[in-house]
Amino acid sequence: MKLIKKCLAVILTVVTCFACAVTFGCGNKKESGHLEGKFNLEVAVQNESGEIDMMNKWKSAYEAKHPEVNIIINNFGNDDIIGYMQKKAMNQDSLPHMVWLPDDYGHTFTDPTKGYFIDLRELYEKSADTDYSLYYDSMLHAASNSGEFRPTTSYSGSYAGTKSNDAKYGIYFAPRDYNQIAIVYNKKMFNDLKTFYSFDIADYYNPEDPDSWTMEKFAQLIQDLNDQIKSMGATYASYRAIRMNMSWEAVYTTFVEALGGDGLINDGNINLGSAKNKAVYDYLWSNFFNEVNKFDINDNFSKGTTYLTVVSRPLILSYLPYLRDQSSQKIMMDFIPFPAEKVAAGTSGYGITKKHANETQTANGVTKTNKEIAWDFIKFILSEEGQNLGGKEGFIQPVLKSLKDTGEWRQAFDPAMNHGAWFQGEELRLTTYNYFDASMRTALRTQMSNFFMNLTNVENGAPANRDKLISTYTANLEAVKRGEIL
Amino acid sequence: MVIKSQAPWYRRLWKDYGNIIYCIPVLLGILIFTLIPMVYSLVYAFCDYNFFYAEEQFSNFGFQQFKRIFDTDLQKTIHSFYITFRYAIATIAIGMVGSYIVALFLNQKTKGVNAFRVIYYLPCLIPAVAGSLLWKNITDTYGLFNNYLMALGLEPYTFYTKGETVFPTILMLSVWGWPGSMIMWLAQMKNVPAEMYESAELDGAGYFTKTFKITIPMTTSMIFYQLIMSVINALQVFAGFYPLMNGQNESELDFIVVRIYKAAFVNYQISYAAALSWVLFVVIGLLTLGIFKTSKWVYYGEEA
Repeated sequence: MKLIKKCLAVILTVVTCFACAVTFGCGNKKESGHLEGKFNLEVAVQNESGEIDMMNKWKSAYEAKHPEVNIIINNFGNDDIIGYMQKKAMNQDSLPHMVWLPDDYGHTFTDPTKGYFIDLRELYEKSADTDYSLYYDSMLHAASNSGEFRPTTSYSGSYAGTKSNDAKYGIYFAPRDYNQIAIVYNKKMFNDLKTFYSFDIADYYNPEDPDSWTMEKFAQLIQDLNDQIKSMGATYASYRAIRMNMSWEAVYTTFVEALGGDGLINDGNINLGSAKNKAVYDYLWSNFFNEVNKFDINDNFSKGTTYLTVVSRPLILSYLPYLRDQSSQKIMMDFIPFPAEKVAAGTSGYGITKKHANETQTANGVTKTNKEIAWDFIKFILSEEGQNLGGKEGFIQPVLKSLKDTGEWRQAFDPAMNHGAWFQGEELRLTTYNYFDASMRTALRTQMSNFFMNLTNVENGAPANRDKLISTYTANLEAVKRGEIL
Repeated sequence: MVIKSQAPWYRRLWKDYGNIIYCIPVLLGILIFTLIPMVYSLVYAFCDYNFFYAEEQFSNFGFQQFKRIFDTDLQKTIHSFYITFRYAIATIAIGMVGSYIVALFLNQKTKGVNAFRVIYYLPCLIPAVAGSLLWKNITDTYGLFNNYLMALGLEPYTFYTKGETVFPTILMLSVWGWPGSMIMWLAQMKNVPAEMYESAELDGAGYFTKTFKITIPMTTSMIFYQLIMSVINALQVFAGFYPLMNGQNESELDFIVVRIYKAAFVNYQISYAAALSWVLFVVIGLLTLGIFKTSKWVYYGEEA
């Protein structure tokens, strides 16, 4: 018995020490997945199946062309970018060489003087293959810490605009896509409606007559769908007309602009309660949120109980497994443009971490810095080949302007689908938060997202509760501006 | 004279210090998961920790976070402590008295009492997630409870969604935690010697006399333990309340730990959150000390 107790104590000690060592990063984590004699490049992406699959495809294609490179893909685990970076802040040695960054939360970590990522302008400007003029301006601006990008004074390419060496105009992640929002609809559900109830989506949106697709028609479609669902009885009580990612800046900004609002944060002033914005909330609530069957608060589009959803293209990959017809293998969804003159687009891309940027690796007698290894892979992702690879899989709308009309993304899933819906109208630039220091923007966005999520609630968003909602979130946003705790 | 040969060094080492090995797992656990984070949070509380900046995580050492808590944000601090104490007092009073009464009832030697014990204890057997879903279904705007109300032609009750109703709702839900306490009361009541009740009965004592003169005094050690634990738990209330916050009820749910969470994970002001945590730690420490200092009423049994 005594011996068993001793053994048990020893085993427990070893297990605990091992767990501690793993938790606190003892041992050489960098060895994980590394191959001797190759350039090992660690890339971290968010833990989302589409994101990981796509990175694996880029990795395979790149490694086939560059056998001396070994790309190790890690993911954020249960964290989003904020949580991931928060953990890495405690142990910066464990930062990978390349990290996926979104434009709305990513630049929080890209302070030019004190942040985690290097300014990529020097690398962009080294080669005509990555000349700024190849990409959408707005995406370059979105990848800058201040919200406004400028080339360095030594830049000699064809991109027009003021030059500056000031780090605040630098690019801290390389935008890899152009994520304009659009509406995706479930064809199978609409086919059923047409067959059994003569409800035809073509009565609202006709690709042959895009001018007739207006915000009023959109609202009418939701109202009629709502009436239709209610008339179908209790079996369909869980059905919803539409899901909209109202917590996402691209979506709420587009709605506010399209419905005549005057900016949520105007010249740095909190403007939630202006008369014009209140009119926007009224319109949204009475047309989209005021009845349970109109708005899906839980994202059940992939479950086949919600007819439409407003999203950006990278999200549709997650719907595919659910929206492929089992017998014909046809994709049971299609796209409708957002009915506004100006539609917002977001982006995401890859940053190179400062911590390891200038460390070197040697393979086949060649020595390179991590920065060079990472940039070469990023260049591949940004090239026509890399962009077409992502586009063909249906994952991205290319950030390369040259592929807007001819890229393979237009053939993804099914060439007959309305891919043009993802490039509709003039672009609405997202500049709401540019007035503020990057460290403040995350909290501001969180508050704004919460405000709009409340607005979508059939009760909280109701006119009777609206003033309180506006005053609460105006106070919250003002508190964030002052650097106070809410 | 025969000299006993000395045991090898490792045997002696094991004999003298082997017991320490038994303690290492728990010591390491306390060290890594309690003491080190506490020291870290103390350091954070006295600086401006900012994880957004790779090169400037610890800066401006001083009392600025505490100054902010008791100066700039004083009103908010007072409000958070006020609603936390209000919640603590209400849940402790209702919870302890309620679960004690249930335990008294279940301590009776009546038919079917075992079945009642099982029924009362059932909520403890339901996993937390299932319990949350259950309550969500009941208290949703269009949930079970409101369906009944509307079927009767009454207005739906707002539960969590409105500031006026959120406090009564969370108090009502705290009933869900009674069985855990109830089972401990019951265990303590079972330890009260039966002879005391028999003697009291011979003296003509009724049920209430026995309860107030025997049962309650004999269970004061458990009352004391439950009081301490309830105070600590109630002041640290957080679980599940943060996700319930919306524009209509934020002020009513702004408990001190919710505030700490929001400071750390919504506003990313880690140092402020750490400072608030230490303030709460001191408040709980002082309260616990106060309860211990006034614990002469507790009966721990006959001293040897």
